[in-house]
Amino acid sequence: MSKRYKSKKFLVKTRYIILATILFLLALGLVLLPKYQKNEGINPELFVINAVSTERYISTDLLADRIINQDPTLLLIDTRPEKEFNEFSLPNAVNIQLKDFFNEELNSYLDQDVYDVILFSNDNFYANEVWMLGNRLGYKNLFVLKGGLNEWFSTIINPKYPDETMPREAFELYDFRKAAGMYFGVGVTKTKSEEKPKSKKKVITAPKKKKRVPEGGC
Amino acid sequence: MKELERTKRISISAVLFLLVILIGFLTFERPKHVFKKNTASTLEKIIKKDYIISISDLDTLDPSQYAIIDIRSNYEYAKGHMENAVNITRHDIFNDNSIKFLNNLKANDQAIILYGEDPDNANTGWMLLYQLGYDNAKILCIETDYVDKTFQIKNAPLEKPNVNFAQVMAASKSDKSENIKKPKPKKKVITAPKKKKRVPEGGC
Repeated sequence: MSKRYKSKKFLVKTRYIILATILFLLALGLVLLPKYQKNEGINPELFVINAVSTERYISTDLLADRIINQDPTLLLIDTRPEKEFNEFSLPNAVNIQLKDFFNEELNSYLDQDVYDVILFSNDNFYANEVWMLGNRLGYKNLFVLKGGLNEWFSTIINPKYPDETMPREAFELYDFRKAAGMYFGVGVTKTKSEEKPKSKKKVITAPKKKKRVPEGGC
Repeated sequence: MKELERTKRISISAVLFLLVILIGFLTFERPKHVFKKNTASTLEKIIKKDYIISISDLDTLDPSQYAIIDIRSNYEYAKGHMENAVNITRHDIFNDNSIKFLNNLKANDQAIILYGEDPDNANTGWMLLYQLGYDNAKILCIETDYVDKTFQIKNAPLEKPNVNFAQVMAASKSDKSENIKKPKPKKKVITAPKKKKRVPEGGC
């Protein structure tokens, strides 16, 4: 028997084993392959495009309008520390700080596609951090209040009266902001104004009839 | 003979299967940029806030230990920028040259100090770099502006409320309520003219 025949015979005998080994090795390769696909969330290129875009910002005027019109799809998230949140926050806001981002109960507010989630803090910094983590994980409907509460106070609560030379729109905007400010409680006292003074009982005194001087008769 | 043909078919199909997998492997395009940090570790870092430095912190550092990167647009950079700052916009981070430059800094254990129009702007660049694995990146907490043809920088307050919101709200309520209080109108006193006693008309 020649050497060539021997090797051929060996190959024929063991071909299934060889094929199985190759397939097994390839299967191992497939285990390693999704390492790149396991990359959590969106890819870096898309992350940058979203982060550079200003689409996520919502103005204080638009937010005030939506709150006043009782938009049912609105969900306000305050990202400031609890102490600041307890002192003051926007109506019906939920406090979710950065450290609570992965808290199961609170995360369900962020990772959903029913509500328009408006994130806010004193300026944009904390709110943007929450937004960027959400952006990485592909959360939908996340928005940031442009300028945060500082901007809210300088526009809605205490708007600046426009100059005489400014266009009509500026005056209309000022009127809107003033009215919105009143809606959010500027100039409205709950304790005093709501307590109506008790109305005094009206005392009707019948006018005394003057004794008529007897008209002169005959 | 029949059995031999069957085994032949099995072998051919197995080889074809292997070929398909091989082609798949060869044509697989590995993504160029991959996030090396997951969101959980990024969140941990963000909470620490140890990556934000001020101008005074920068002054204490040895210039050979860091490189300043201006992430504003090329146009803004051309108008004025910090001394020795290199312009890499957020989109340019993925350029081969930028990646090479950043990798060099990391290899030499030099800090990457980012600044933009405000800390918020720099933060987006930092988030990107940190998640890409550049844990030597830091944010310079400044605001930049171009006033009177000069490039100006100043320390930026981070998340500092301009006013005490609760106090302002309370004050705005009480102030207005005082203004609203109108002085009580004086009771109008209407004096009815006294009727002159009628002189009894004369009778007969």
